[in-house]
Amino acid sequence: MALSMLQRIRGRIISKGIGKGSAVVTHQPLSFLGGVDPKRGVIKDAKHELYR
Amino acid sequence: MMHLNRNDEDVLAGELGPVKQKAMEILVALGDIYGAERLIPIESAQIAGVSYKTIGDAGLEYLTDLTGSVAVPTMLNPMGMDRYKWRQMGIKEAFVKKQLAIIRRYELLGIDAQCTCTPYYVNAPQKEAHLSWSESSAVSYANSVLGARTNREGGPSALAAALVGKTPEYGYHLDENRVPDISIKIDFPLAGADFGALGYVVGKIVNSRVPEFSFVTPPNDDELKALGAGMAATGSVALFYPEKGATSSEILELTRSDLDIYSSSEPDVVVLGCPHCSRSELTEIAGLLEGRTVARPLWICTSRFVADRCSGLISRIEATGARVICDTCMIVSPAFEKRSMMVNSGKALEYGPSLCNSRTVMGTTSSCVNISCNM
Repeated sequence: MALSMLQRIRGRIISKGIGKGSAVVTHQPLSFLGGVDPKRGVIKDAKHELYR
Repeated sequence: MMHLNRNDEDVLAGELGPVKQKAMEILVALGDIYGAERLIPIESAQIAGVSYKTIGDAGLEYLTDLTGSVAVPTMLNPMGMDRYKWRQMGIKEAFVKKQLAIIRRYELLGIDAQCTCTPYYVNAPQKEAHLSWSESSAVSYANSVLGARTNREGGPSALAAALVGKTPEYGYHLDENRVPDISIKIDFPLAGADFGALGYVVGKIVNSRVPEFSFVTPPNDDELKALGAGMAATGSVALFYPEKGATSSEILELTRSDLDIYSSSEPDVVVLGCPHCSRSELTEIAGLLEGRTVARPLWICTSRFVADRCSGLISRIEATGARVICDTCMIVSPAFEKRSMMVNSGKALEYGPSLCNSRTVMGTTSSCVNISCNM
């Protein structure tokens, strides 16, 4: 991705630490109780826009 | 930023050890996010994140690092199995071992492993009491039926509040946020499971708003429980008003066809008690089963606290072949996975497909009992 497309977004901190990874972006709410498979790290909710 | 008193500052500085310090950090972080001015003491806490199915090894590991004692009476959500009848439920020993390890970790913190989504039957909060509860249907009931005050906490924030004995003063702890902002009008009669269906439908419409309702007949507490549970599952409603006041100007009128979500398609199993059955609900089920035999598995979930006080009812129910289980439910247990279920709960209708991979349909309590008895 070109540097010009990088965006800085300020989040609200709950837990301290430093992390790094690809941003997964959605405009829909997502529940982590049943909507995400915690072992594989994928969206399980078939109705969600990010579901593959 | 929140104002912390001297005691709060000491806890945050680690004077009561690292576990309470970490708990205080979570509460302070949340308080700052939500604009709380201060922390307030709570009467009790209620923790979600108990079933090994939902929290897994990561959850057990998190709990294993915690030592100390909770500062207020604290109860737990349902676990993944009936503590004693797990073999009947078909739960594997490996699961049982991990589940009991989770319960042990919570109990070591001084938590009362009541394992129910209906903690208010065990210990009813005082009116106006400030709580930190995390089970969404219990939150709704506490706020809306019992007049207590709690936000819809997550498991970790409720646990943090339990350890410190306080919660940040924001959201539903404050009068200004307890005002209804949408009015729902239903001018046809509803009964029993209809309220769960209503909750299922309304939750999707209102999301996290505070609805007030106008009913033909005032619902009883069991019906309010079903309504709150449904709205908290498809939406995130934490507070509603069962009677119309004069406040909200936005009015939504629902018709009978809006609530047409019942199905009569035949399931593998029938499971009732989401949220956990009250004595009156067990009485109703026992009455519907009178003189009959189940032909299809019928499971009924309740709290051990209620079951221990309804042994006569439970004997009558189980004489028909139906099974009453405690400490658990169809959603957080692996016992019902991939089996098609019929439920009488809007909440279970919402969570069955995602948490159990189950094709789930909803019926009234009597149609659920009928379909269990007819093959």
